[in-house]
Amino acid sequence: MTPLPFKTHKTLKTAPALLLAAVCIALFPPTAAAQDPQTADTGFPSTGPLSGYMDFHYNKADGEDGILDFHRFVLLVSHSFSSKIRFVGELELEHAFVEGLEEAGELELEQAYVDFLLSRWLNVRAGMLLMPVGIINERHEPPVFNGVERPFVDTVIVPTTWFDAGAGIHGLLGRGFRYRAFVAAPLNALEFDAEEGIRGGRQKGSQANVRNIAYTGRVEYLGVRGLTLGASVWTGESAFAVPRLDTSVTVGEFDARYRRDRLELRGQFAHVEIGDAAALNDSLGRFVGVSPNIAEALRGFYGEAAYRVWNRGAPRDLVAFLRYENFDTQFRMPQGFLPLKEFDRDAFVTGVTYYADPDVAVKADYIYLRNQSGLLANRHLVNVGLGWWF
Amino acid sequence: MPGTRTHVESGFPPSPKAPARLAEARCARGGGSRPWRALILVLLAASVSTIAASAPRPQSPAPRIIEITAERFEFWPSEVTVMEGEAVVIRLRSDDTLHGFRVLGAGTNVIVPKRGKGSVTATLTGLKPGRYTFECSRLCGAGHNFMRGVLVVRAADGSTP
Repeated sequence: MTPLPFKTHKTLKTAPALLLAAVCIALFPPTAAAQDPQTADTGFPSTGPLSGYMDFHYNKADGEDGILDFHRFVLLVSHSFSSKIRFVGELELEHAFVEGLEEAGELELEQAYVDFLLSRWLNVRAGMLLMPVGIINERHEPPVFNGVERPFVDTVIVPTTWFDAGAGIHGLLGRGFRYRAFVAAPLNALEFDAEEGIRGGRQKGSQANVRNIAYTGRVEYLGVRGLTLGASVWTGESAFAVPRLDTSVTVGEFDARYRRDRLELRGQFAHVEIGDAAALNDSLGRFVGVSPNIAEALRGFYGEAAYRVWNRGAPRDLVAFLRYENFDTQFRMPQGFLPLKEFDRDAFVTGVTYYADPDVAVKADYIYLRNQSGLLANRHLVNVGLGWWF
Repeated sequence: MPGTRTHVESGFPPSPKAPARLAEARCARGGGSRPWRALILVLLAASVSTIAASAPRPQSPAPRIIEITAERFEFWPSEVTVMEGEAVVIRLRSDDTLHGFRVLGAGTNVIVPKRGKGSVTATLTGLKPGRYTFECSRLCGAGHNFMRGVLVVRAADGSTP
């Protein structure tokens, strides 16, 4: 497998300058008249309505007891200081319960940023940001996607919900293109593992170490009706806890969504490169006594077809879907390491989404989850869920 | 005599004795035909005014209707071009949740109903040439602030400031 042609940034002196420039632009925005004919808009400052989304699941795997889980309880708040300075915050409670020092639930500040909307093509954002990678990370409200749980690729290859503290710019480029480019706290490679790849490495903006800075960006094309194309990259030096290591991590991703009449198609491909994985495994092995068997490369992709079989508008609104996913967190191993084939997996997912209201989705699906180990059994899972947005 | 002329013009064959008969008839009624004449005149006037009202007259051109679809977190199309002075009605519908449609600098701000719940229209008039940002004005999810587009108003000579 050829490594992705993404440049790894080792010289990070530009990052503070970029941040400083962003803040300066934000503090001294050009006047509106200099950019367009906008005049002062009425209705500001204003606080938006309390919004949010919730996810309630029943999960059953063959040979195991069923689980009822209030997976996500998320509240969003917004405030517009003016037409050009706006705040959005998203606070999430996962698995309904949080207790110190135990792996129960999580209380996470997934978003909390201020946007300085300077012009259509250049806006500045700072705070807790969603990494602009993949379909789901920035579009994760339950009625938006099919399936009770998020796609596997958007869980173990692209570690949604992926957020961290940072700053950057975003805007429209014209002709249907738009972009975002952020700098943020990097991943912590000491938390990587064989099964879930880089997922454990998210610092989540909690006293995040920024000895190194990560860079991320995304370009989207929306110029054709019903079609959205996206390409994302994230790259950052992630072994700050072990300075001798050069564990640069690069995530490359592209995705497409297309909708016409009752049919919706979506697909995504994501690839992760982890530099110096052999040394990382060696270092972690010395810490804990066993090598975590972290791969040099992870890869995943999926394709989904959905058809609105009942299309008379909620509550007469039913979507059936079929998705195939292939995801391997041991895709390419460093020299001297063997892949754990149980983490080379694929999944067939089929199910339905019923919309009692455009914002209330009742979901059910069946998953056949295979692995390539030849030893561990493949799994059958049944999920039922209720998700809503308000 | 108008009544006679009308009668004749209406195609009945005139008789040499007809004027005399009509005069006799008028005498016999003692001039009582005047209310009928007034009624005929009123009906005639009403008919003329109705015909005049229904006749084509110069009108302002019908506004151009532009359809925009809102969906998390994009508008399609995200760029709309109109001419200065052109009457424009933007009809918006949503493919998912509630959205807003606000044109900064134009005083337009409407709520777009949820999918399947109809559409909303926004009338744009009197915009000066330039580029106006439009955006979702109702929090609709994690990418809400990315949901923006541009309305281009070209000057009459085709230029855009």
